Amino acid sequence: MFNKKLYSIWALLILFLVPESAFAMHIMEGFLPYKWAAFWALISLPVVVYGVVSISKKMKENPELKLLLGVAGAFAFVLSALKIPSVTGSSSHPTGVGLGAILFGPAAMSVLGMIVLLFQAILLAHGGITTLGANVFSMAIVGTFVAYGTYKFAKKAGISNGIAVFLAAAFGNLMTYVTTSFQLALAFPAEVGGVMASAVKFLTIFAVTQIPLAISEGLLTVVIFNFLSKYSSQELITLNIFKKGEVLGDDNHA
Amino acid sequence: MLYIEQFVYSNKLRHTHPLERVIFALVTMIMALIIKDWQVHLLIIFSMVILLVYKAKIKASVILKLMLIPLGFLIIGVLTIAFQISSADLNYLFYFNIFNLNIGITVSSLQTAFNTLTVSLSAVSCLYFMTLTTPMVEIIYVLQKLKVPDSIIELMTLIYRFIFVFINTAFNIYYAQQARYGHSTFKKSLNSFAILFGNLWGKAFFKSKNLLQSLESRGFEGNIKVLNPEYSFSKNNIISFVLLDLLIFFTALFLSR
Repeated sequence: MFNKKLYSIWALLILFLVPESAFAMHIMEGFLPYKWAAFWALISLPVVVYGVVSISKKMKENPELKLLLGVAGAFAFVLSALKIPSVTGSSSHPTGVGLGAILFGPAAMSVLGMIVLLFQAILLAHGGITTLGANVFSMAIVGTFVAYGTYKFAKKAGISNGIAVFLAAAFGNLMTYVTTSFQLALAFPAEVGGVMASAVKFLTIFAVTQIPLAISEGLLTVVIFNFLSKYSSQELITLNIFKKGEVLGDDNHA
Repeated sequence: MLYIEQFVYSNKLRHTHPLERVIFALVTMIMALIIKDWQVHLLIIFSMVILLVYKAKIKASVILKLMLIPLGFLIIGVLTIAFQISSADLNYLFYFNIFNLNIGITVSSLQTAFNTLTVSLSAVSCLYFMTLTTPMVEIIYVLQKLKVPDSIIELMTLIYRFIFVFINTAFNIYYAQQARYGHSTFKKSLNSFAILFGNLWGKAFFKSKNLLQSLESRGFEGNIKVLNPEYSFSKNNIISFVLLDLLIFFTALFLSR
């Protein structure tokens, strides 16, 4: 009897605590022990440096890119401040990582992602400075590369553009959440079962908000992408300077 | 207007050198992370709040409201750390049993969870000390002093500038859509978002093109150079910041004995 009561309290507590609007899962300031915070910062650093070098080169050849990237970064930030209702009825904030990765390519997006994460920490108190490395790794590196890879792979496999965009955005989002869960699990292993058991715990708890978020983000990205290829194909062509020799969008939606 | 931005530009510590404030906040944050004593964490939270309320003249209610922002993540994260699942009998303080699994809180998991809670809250208070006293332009200035590559500094300056160009438009469209039930169902909301995004996207391109043209007509060669105001270090501030950090350090040393 006693156990049942406790269980229902626990279940209620979880329901009560699931926030009304779910942000993408950024690890908050100070949550990671300093060794892990430093570790993730060191892991992310070379990728971001690679991104900076690669976009600096392109920006030098083409000063227009600098302004375009600035606009895109502001865009991602503003989008993440808005809410879309999620499939479960609560609402969620889009991350824009999938869209950015498809439009700008992973190198530029990893740098933009880092800056946007820093702005979110400073201006919205969402995420943190000490956990920036970990969040950059899960969102701006794993998220963008998975989204970009998925998009490329799906296109090669001959899947239609809409589904490829959905898969890329949703999968990039999902992998961000899985990575974050593992980052938390590595820092806080369970007493029995260690990291894996702990990862299962974090994955289960955050699935409540993160899986619907991934699905809505996927759908949103598709709708936006269709809108863009319908009404602003000219701008999409301009964007091709980021990735020479590729044509964005698809004739499906022409 | 972003919530934090409403207060930062009028805070009373603004005339001091931003490097002092940012380095103080970061050093204290690192101390909060390394020292594992809740009393020290309380001391850090207390001193940051006192500094913000009495020196920067920011209302305590604002700080409290900001402290609530990360609470959702914090509580869920800490509870997940605290609850241990096992089929064997651990050193549980209390537990319940479902599907032959024991779910409960152990002595050591409670300790880790509580420590994480106080560390996070004290680190967040340091973050707020920085963000409520240092506007983004000054943070960018500090990053420049710390030799962050120019391309990142320029991108940050541009993004910061464009955020305010877009955020008003974005929220105006968003509210107009909401007033017309544009976000009442999931499907409608997706469509409304696409319209919002598409319109903003066109405007964004237009703005960036215009900016490029105006820059080029003024001799733009790929670098945006901004003059920073001259800041001067204040001895009093540096001494009091160092003393405060030393106080925290020696309290930790004293408590650990």
